[in-house]
Amino acid sequence: MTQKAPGAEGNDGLTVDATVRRGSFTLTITFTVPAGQVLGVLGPNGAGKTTLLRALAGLTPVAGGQVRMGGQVVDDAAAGIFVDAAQRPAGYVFQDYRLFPHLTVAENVAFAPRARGLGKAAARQAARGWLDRLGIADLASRKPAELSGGQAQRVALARALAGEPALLLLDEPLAALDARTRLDVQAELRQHLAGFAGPCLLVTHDPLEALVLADRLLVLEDGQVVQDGTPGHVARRPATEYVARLVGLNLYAGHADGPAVTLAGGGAFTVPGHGWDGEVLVAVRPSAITVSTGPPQATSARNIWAAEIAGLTMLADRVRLDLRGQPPALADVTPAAVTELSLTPGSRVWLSVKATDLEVYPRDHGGPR
Amino acid sequence: MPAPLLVPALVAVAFLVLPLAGLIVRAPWGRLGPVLSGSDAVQALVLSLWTATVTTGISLVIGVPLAWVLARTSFPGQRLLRALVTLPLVLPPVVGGVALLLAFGRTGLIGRYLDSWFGLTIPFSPLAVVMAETFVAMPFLIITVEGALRSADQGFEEAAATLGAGRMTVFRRVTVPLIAPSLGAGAVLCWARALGEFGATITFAGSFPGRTETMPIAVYYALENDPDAAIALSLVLLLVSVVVLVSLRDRWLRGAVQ
Repeated sequence: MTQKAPGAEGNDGLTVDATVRRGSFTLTITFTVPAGQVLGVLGPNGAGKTTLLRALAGLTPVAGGQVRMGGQVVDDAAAGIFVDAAQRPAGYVFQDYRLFPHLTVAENVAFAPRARGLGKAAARQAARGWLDRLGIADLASRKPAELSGGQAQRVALARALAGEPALLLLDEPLAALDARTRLDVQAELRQHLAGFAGPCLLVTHDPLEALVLADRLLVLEDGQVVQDGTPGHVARRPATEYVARLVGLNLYAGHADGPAVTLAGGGAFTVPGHGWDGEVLVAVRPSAITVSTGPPQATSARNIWAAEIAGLTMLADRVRLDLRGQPPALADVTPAAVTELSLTPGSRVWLSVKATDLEVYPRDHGGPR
Repeated sequence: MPAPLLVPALVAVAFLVLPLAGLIVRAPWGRLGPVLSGSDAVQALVLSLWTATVTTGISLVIGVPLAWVLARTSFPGQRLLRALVTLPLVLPPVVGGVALLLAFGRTGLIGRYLDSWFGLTIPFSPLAVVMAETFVAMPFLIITVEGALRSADQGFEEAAATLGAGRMTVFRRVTVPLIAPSLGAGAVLCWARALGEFGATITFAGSFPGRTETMPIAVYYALENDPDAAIALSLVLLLVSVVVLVSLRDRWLRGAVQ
């Protein structure tokens, strides 16, 4: 059975320039996603991620601006255009899946073909094709209540794809799964997303999931886009404290004047040849910070400062130190170092970091598109 | 179990069960066949069963959409509308009968035109029985279904919409199946209420044997001149109620409670 890649023909991607209001919350957002790209939408709870998906699906009207998908304008507040959810070429995989409890898996997947006017037999055959494609044909006659989390996730994806959408929306597709299943489904999902020809939006608050599944990241905070770039770029040069925490970096805002960077929260770094002037951000990996009990003597590091240990946390194979100083920092050391240097909360230590480990970049940047 | 709760509970049980026991004890078991066949029992029962069933059908056809409108839309005056359509729940049925008479009677508000234009006279006909029963019983279905629609997870309906289903398809293929247990419970309540209707029916439809004399009315008249027949007829109604309760309980009523 040959099936064309869904979302393929005439797809000019997704173009969004819109304002969405939900109660007192306002989401203002502008971005485009070309066909075939998976855009990871990352952000803390309440940032507007789900609101964005709902607006794109036509479940929440936009208050202003325009949305284009699959070659048609589906929202244009000024022109009074609002295409009903049922009429939109968007497939939606809900966080809680929302499989119809009274229908079997096959009937769930056949729902969209049926709603589109296909006869019973034809819709069943289309559903069959999707179940085969996602490797869940053996679940066809089960009811959603009889599925495991991973199985329900696959069925939800099959059901959305069976509508042959031009745009695929996934809201935290793996959030409801246990850690083990998540890894399996994640690898599989990556394959299926690669096979989808249209643009795809994947909402998540798990940075790893975003890094693995997305071609590009859009970071939302408080209804605003704070960063838009490739996963590598976002991981290296986080634009906000939230993103830095997600990807596990120390982030400082400061003012650059030549090699000297004066940090807004106190302290300073010297970073020769970073090439920026004015408002900058400085990112540094916790593992790049060296911790010693006395002032380091023979070191090439030019950035040395004193700090006090506020707390220690055991990570997988290392210990993360929470350090109070100018500036404050998170630093990773080995468990052996903790005993050798007898590091305890309240210990006074010296921190040093090489200039080459300090990533300096201008503050207001959206990153390369 | 604390006595202050147990004792009143036992009194309640006694109060509800003893009269039914009395009915069974006093029944003329030996002459049940002749008594029933000698009365209007069969035709009254047939009339009661079909009018209650037609009433339930009409209530489903027009009451469920009204429940949807009340639960899923909002417009000015909606609260007033809800109060008005559920008023028959608390209105004495006799008052409902009088109101129906004033509206659809031969000289009533609407009845006079039905009479002069179409020669249609509603009161004291089987149609009047159905109308009286619908007036009294449909609100039971409406509030049951409206409550179910309000508490149903609308996420499923949203999912159906994103899959390309229009409003009617969503209603037919998702909303109705999801509230089926409550729909069943509402229909049973409506049917049972219609079966037992007395006040509105006797006021608006009268009591012509074979035409408008339903079981409850037959029982009432039998009690005056043939108490044994009244008891026998009551037994039949009790039996019908028990059969309905038992046969539908597992399928629908329990589901509605969950």
